Amino acid sequence: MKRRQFLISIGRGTILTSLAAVSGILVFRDSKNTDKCTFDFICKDCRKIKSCGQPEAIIFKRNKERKSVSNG
Amino acid sequence: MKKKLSIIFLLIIFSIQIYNVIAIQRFPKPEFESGHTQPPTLTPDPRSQALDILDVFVLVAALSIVSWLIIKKRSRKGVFWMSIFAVLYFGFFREGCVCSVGSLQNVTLALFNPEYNIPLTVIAFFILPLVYTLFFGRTFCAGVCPLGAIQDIFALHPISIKSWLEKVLGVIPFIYLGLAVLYSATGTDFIVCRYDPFIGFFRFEGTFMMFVIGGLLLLIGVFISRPYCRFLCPYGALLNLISRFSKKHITITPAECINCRLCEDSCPFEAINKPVILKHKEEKSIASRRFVLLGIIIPLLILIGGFTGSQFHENLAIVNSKVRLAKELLNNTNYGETDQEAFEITAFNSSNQSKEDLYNEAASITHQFYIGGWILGGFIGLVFGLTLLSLSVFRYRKDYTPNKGTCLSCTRCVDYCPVKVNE
Repeated sequence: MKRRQFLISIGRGTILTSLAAVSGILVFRDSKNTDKCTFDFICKDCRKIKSCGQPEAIIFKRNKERKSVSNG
Repeated sequence: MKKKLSIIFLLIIFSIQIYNVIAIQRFPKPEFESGHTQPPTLTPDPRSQALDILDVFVLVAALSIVSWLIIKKRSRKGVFWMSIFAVLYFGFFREGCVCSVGSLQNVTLALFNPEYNIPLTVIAFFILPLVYTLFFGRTFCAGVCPLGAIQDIFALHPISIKSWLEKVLGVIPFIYLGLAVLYSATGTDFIVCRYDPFIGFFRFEGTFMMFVIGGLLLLIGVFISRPYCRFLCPYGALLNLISRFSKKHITITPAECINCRLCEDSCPFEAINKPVILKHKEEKSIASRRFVLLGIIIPLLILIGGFTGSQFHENLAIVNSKVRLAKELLNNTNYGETDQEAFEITAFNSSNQSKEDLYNEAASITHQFYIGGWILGGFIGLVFGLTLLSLSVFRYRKDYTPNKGTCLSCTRCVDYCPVKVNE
């Protein structure tokens, strides 16, 4: 194996390990779920919010509904 | 014939969309002050989880088929039809969301904010194209990304641009990537999604400016192929880096290159490395001196970039809604319209929240931007330094080879090679 190919293999292994680590952290970590979603900028301007089933979208819609009920 | 068909197909789609542009509300809805309350909007059931799973399966299948078509079959026709499929499925059917380009922001937000619950589909859309790129090159860009595919259809009369200009413009995606990471890490905004130029076409709705920018990019794309992919896409910047380490990659010739030069101008993305004649080889002492000089310049650029970035932290932070509200409250302005209180201030005052808490939170976010500004500036400095390095390095090559970083694996060059392998 040439030196260049060896270095590329090491780089590939490192990237693959990093990707596996990132996926592992995101999938298996203990998410600190709260009742309130503070990242409403994701949903606020989204045009697919009505049909979206993502957890934060559901929380956003629920909060929005609560707000409209308390205002009305 | 193929080109004419694609033009007719796209003209039909755009003519339908004109109706939507005209239908955009030109005036805001009236605010009722007579005690009338608007009836609550009924929201339909959330999208089925089964469809999300199907999307991931389709993504894996599409990536596998495109990789096979590129690496094994070397078929341009196959890649073209996969691009059409990508536009129809990932573009129009899925309305371009969630896409791999935008998913990088969800992943960043999830990494920096543990309370954000990232869906598995989003993780899959972020990771899978990166893994395939690591093994087969940028096959995702070739025929799976709907943003790339819609531009590829428009690449009708590509013209070549100067290599120095290509290099300079090629820095923009890295700056955009840095900004996208900064804004999503601080929980401020998803700028890649907000300024996605083609999403309006896929959803048949959007702001007028969105359509104008998207249309302009497609128009530019007729002459300068895939401008968004080459000079803007932040995910493309990631793929560019990862593709350099790919295990397999498309080759122009299936056997030994005969240097016939037929493929020389075949790439609309200027991603073919031409042979470098040995007689131009420079002396070792000159090359060593240049490397030492660049070894000093690059850390200096990182430092200058970091310092400059940190000085702009307040300007960067103003995009954050909490920082903006705190500033508005402090100055009691409506950004120019001083005779009228901002709607945000009225809403905040009626929410019974403490001003002190808001100021503290805004100060904390601004501090995050200060640190982020250092990192972003340093990153941009590093990119400039490495671009400088790549411009000054001469690698001696005998054959015509695709540039593993910038090659989008579209397989156009393959058809130009007269060398055939006997079955």
